Amino acid sequence: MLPVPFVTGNLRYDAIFIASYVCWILFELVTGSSRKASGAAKAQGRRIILLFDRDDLAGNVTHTPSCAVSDLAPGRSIGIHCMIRRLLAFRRMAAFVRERSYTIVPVASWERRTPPRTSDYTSWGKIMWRKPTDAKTNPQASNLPEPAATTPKPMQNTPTNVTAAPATPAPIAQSFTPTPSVSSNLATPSTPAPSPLRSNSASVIGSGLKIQGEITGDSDLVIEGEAHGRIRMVNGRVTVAPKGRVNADIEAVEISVEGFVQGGLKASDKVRLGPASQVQGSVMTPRIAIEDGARLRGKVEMIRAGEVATPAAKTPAVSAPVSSTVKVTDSATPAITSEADRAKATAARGSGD
Amino acid sequence: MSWTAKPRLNPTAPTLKPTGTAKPGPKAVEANGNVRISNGLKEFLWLTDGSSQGRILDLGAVFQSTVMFFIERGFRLSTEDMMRSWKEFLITEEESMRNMKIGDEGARVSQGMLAGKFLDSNLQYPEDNFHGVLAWDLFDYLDAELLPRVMERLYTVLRPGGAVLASFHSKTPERFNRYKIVDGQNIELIPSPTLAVHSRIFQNREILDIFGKFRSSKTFVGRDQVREALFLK
Repeated sequence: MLPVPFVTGNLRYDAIFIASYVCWILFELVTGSSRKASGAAKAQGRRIILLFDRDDLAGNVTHTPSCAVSDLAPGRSIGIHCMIRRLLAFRRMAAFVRERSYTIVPVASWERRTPPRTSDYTSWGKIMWRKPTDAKTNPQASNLPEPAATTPKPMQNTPTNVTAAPATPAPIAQSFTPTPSVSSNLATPSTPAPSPLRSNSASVIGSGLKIQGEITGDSDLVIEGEAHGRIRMVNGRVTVAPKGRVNADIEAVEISVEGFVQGGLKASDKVRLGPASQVQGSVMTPRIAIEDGARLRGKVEMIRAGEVATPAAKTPAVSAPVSSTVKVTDSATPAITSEADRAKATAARGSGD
Repeated sequence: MSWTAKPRLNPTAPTLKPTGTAKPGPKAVEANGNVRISNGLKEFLWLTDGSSQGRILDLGAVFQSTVMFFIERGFRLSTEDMMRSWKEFLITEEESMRNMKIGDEGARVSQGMLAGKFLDSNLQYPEDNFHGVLAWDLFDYLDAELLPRVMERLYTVLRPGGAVLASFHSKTPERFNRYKIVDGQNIELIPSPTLAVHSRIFQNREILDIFGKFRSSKTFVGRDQVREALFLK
């Protein structure tokens, strides 16, 4: 099934289109990756909207509604990258057409669209799911680092995490329940057999949640709310979302900060500070990535890979269940004392060693 | 004030050569118009090079290349964006004063009080802790009351023999820049939203007065008329 007509009357466009389409067929026969991606879309009950306009007839398909790009305009040079773009777009589009998990919205306009930004190019290899209607109210969902490609991580696409509002605690409880012990998965223990989707998901401290105490575990942790105390994910990755606020020392294999952290960061693999991140405390890691705009107030020290995880193995008592130290409060709870924390952070930062 | 000459054993030491991923090649450096040669940085590195596991305090914005530059040379780097902290402090203070009632004693503030309060929560480091301090575009932006207190604090946290590298404008700058180390002798100026108004232009004598406690100095004047001053404790 051909998704769009072949012939546009423009010989140059038609030739490029046919060539790219043939390339796509060959590519699809070899990899079959688009079928997998489409299957993932259907599994989540999502639909992809494809936009078509006259540029699309020339083979330049806008593959997502939010990323409507069109760089192949009359008069522009057609380069290899255009071929590759069209190839990727058609590979994705044809898969959705074949699986009938799409909605076609015709766009009858000749209006020029703005050329794609660099960031748009970086998202080609990924499928941008149709967002919920209120997805714009959760900017951290789109800013999570390294979003999934063809097999998106449930933690980033599960609507309960993305669209959970502070006023409705039920969806939040799915991702975090104040159980007697904060396990690595943070799932309700009464759940008999967690689905594969859930088992692979990261633990999420959603926006509107405040946690005070020690959090330990082995899986990934995403903090969109507030956390005070100490966080140790010896074999996991900790991500502080743009709205996340952490007043705690964090130990993990990998730490990615987009929000605010007051406390030391110890990573056995790497630390990444996003452009809007604010960190007050020391950073100890073998590798560090600091994006322009990040704010770091503290010292940076390089350690050997895996150096952080070793002491944790020697002190198993630390990773024991921490039922008594965990308190979960809702967003209406007054802010946790800040003077003591500030003094603690200042002392830690001021050690200089 | 005399500069204590230190024999330069190996001027082409590898520590001064651009290495690593964070440093573009010479062509890239030339192509970027915001990159300027910093003789002060070269001298600063030479002075701090002998200290193993030396500690550097960068009072500007944090950049990946700057961090990696010092980390790869075995330094431990502490960063504190002082200009931004000062601006945010003033905003916070202004906000709190707005909420005060008329006649409240707490509303009586002076620049000196603000400076003292600011330093109560900033530049908090142990004494004799750092081997070097980087302060590009900082001192001629600070408040007149804050500047001497900052200098006093820097003198305290600096080890004996430690160096301070600062820059001073010879004319009012057209824009506010942050500084990023490209390699051992080049820095890149990153245009940034203005965090503070350029307060004044210091004459050479005034610069020496500011660094009154420091024992020796060296000044480099760049083509852009920015003076880089290097002082030793």
